[in-house]
Amino acid sequence: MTALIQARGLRKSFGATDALRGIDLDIQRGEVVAVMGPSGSGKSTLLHCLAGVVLPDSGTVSVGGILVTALTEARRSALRLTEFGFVFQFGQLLPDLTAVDNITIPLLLAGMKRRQALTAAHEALGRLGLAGAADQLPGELSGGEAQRVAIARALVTQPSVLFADEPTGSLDSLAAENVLTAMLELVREAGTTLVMITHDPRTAAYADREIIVRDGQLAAADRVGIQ
Amino acid sequence: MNASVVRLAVIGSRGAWGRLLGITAGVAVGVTLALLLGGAYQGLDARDERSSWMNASGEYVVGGDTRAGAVTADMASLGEDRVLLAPTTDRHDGARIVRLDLAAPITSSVTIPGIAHLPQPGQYYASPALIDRIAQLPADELGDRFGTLAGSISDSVLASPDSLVVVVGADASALIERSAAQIVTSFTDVAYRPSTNYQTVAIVGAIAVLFPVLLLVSIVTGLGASARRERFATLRLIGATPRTVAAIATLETAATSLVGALIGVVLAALLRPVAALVSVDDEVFFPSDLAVTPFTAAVVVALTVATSAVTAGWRIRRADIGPLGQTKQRQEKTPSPLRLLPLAGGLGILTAITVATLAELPVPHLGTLIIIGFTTTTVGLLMAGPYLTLFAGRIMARRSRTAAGVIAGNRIRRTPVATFRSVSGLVVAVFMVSVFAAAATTADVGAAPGDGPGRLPISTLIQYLDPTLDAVDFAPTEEVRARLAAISGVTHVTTIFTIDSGNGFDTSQLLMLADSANDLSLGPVPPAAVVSINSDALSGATAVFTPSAETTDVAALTPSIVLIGTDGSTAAIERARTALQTGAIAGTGWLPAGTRTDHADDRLQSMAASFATLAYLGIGVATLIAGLSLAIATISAMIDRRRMLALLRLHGMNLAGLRRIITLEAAAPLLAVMALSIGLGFLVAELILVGLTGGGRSVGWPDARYIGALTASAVLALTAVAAAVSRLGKNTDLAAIRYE
Amino acid sequence: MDNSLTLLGLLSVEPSYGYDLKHTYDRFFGVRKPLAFGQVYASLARMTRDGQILALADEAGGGPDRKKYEVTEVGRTRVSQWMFTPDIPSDTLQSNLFAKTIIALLVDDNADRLLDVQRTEHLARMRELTREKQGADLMRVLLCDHALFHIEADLRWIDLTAARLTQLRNEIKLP
Ligand SMILES: Nc1ncnc2c1ncn2[C@@H]1O[C@H](COP(=O)(O)OP(=O)(O)OP(=O)(O)O)[C@@H](O)[C@H]1O
Ligand SMILES: [Mg+2]
Repeated sequence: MTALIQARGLRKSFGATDALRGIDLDIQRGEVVAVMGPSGSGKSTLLHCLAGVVLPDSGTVSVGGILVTALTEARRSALRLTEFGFVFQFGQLLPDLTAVDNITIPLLLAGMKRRQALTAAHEALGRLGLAGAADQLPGELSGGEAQRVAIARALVTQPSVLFADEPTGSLDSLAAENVLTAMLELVREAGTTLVMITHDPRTAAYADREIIVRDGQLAAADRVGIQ
Repeated sequence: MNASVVRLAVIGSRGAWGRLLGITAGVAVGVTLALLLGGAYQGLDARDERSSWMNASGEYVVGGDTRAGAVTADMASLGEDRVLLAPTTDRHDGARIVRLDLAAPITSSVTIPGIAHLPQPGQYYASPALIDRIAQLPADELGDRFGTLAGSISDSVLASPDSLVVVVGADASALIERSAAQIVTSFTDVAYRPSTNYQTVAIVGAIAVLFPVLLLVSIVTGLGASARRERFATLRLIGATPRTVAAIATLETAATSLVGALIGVVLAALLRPVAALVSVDDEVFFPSDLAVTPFTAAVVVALTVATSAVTAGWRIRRADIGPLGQTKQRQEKTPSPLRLLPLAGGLGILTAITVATLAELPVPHLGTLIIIGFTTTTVGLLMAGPYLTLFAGRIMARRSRTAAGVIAGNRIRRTPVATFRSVSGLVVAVFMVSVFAAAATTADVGAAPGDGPGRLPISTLIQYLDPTLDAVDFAPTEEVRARLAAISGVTHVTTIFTIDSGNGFDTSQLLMLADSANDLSLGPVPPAAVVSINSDALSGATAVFTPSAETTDVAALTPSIVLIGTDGSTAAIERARTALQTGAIAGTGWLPAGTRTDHADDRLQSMAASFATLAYLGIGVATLIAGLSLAIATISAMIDRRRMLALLRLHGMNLAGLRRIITLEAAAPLLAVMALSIGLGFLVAELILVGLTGGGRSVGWPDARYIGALTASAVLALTAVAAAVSRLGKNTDLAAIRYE
Repeated sequence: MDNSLTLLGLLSVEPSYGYDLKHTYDRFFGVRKPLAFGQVYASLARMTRDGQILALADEAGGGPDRKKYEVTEVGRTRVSQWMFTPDIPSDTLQSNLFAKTIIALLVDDNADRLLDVQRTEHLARMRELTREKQGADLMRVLLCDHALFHIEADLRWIDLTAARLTQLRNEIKLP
């Protein structure tokens, strides 16, 4: 079985900083992968390259056989919309929109009718145990609730890959654990591939495996072929 | 408070410099315009005051007065302290010339300011602009009207460098029969009464321009506010008190707006010659008229700095920046319906004034009341805007089917005040355009219709005679007629008569000889020796000839009007006019010779018309500034929210979608309030006009210029938003923004 | 911590006398509990027997403390094997891992890699515990969490050490 995400020879520098220095990586469909490594080692940059948010200076990324690095920005937007979901540490909800409206946005972008989108959004909130918070503004939610809304939003389009950059980074142990189990349950259920950056070993322990990025390279054990 | 802390807080980043520059520029523009407007307002006054000598008047000469000391045709009868003055409005090529014919003995002690000596018969003094004009034309088109040039009238007694003024010396005998002749003893203490209507309109115009300027300043001071709030939050975190932070904000704004205001003073001085070219009441300004005293300038600068600094400090204190910054966005207070009150109040004042004037009740301080009413209405419109915007946002948020609509709608509904602020300039501008356009419609009412079959050609000069004067044989002699007819470009000379019906001349009863009526070729002439022509034919109505009911006796007719047909060239018209004035005819008329258009122009000389240029110019400036404000506000809102917008891009929204959000956020409040401001504009114009003219005027349909102005505003709004949106790609560049 | 393997590791840096070996050992690892000479000689004897080291010809003649020892190929392989075999995460792990890291740095081997290998082992154990938590009763969950937190502490130490390897390498340069 070929890997869902295949990255080959990824290099990316920002001015004098070499953020990625030749990364080869395979991630299988349905796999849950934790990306670890010291601060500034290039984890976020790697994630951005995999998701087509940032184009690498050289190297290729293909997802499900589509060569992401060769697509135009418009095509990559469309790909992100339908195939990828994103969750970040915090502050990713539109502050003016209620929780449920926030979740409808990707559905509306994909062309769904408003009414259907609202139904789907309510359902998604319900699955994350947030049915009561539907009409609250992000400013009125706790950090954990806001993260769960963000996860609901990321998963509502049923993407094939969920990219998460320290999704529990701003939460305490218990809240983090709750958010994480909720997310993993949904991800495993739907067979979504999850690529999750984390500094927290206990979070990484939820993954099927972890890869370690150091100085823009994968730690030896994680290099393709060595496994 | 440590100086380096202040420095860090104020110019902590590159963006901060942009913000300071923006504020400086905004304040500079504002102060420039304020100073120029203030100057213009004073200038109008100065202008009136300087040229007041031209309004010198005295007792009219009573024909056949035999009392001792009565003025007679003998120059000596005037003595040393009286002169005979006959003011008229002459014309050349559509421009009006103030012509003062003056008879004074050489020994006269009367003086005219700005002129070395009183002109003697055959001499004249003219304003520089007129001297220029005379020099550039053949004498028989203009110069011959006045005689020989004795000197120029000093600028210090002229309203404008463009003023066409001439003081012509004449014999008492020539003037005494003029109906306009009066005995004047002094030209220096002429009480001048500045037109309060003028000033009312001028102040209203100034407010029209100043509002967008204030809005611009308030928008630029909000530039980069969110980045700054974060910096201030950091300061709070490391121990600064709210008072310190407010002090820093105050200091920052004070310094910036001081620089801006000083630049504004310099700019105003530099732009004065350009601004002076704007003609108000058909005349441009002397640049020095627009100068403000150093004291005024200092007051403007001080006021600007003080208000902006205090507002900035107050805003920051009210924003209540905590040490944790504003991770949780502050909710804007939902606007309440109370915001509609000032609007209702303003309209109430204006309505009350109108009703009172229509009921012919005395209204004290009419002008001031109108200004108060107008200002309150304008402020009311601005206050009401957010409330209406809130509704627009709610409807949009609920009804929208697209992501962009939902996002924009919710944004508007959560922040109606901020959203409306960015378009408020344009809303005010459109309101003002509507007021002025509606007011200007009165200027066009009854404008002389153009040429057409059966109408007296506009190339025909009409010289009214004064049939009531019997001292002079005013009828054009055959010789005069021949002289006029011989002028190149003159096609015919026709006389219109009137008859003495027993109790004086009926000048509305116009009679013609059938032959000359045929000469006019304006339509069928009935077969009769004497025919009657409708009097409104002279103001452009279709001519209708009917057989005269009064008389068929040619000998009983008295000449009343001379028509001189020309080939329509300016040269021919002016040659004919000059010939008329150099002959005896001009002296008898109570209106100098003029074409239909000239006469219509005299009749329609209205406040609104003379202010139309200024109004449209002011609105042009206001609209431009409003457009600029919209662009700045849109960009600044975009920068403040760039992370959010970039996240949307990340989630798969394309640039077109982002553009739609920004455009909708500007368009919704505009559309919500635009119809209201247009309607209000017309209503307010009607109220003001009716109020000022006691029901004498009311508004009509606006002309193409108005549609043009509205279109221009729309285009400007679009351009502003487009300009802002064009930076969207860069500001939300996926690679430049970090998502974590 | 395996003393004899540590000594073997130290010997693979350079041939050394038993006496010097003890002092080198104490310098790095014996701050709190210096090694007894007897222990050193016992280990040396056992390693010689297993062919991991060999005694060089006497220089000045005399007792065992006058013998210089050198590591053999067998010895080197043993050290390398030891270094890159992760330990089962446990309380006693720390000192052993520390020793491995120091030795790896001293012999200029890939210390990064050994830490990575250990990290992988730790994470694998954490994954196991995390899986065990799923659907378990609260008591079991809390027990697992206890273990998880301990392993996590090790992991944090590993991360910290990994981040400071360069600094450490400079500091332990043998005189
Ligand atoms: N847009 C950018 N411009 C300039 N430098 C960048 C940019 N993005 C990343 N870098 C640099 O690239 C390197 C890797 O950054 P990256 O964000 O990928 O690290 P990271 O592993 O995610 O760190 P952390 O765990 O702290 O989030 C860093 O040195 C960072 O300074
Ligand atoms: Mg990162």
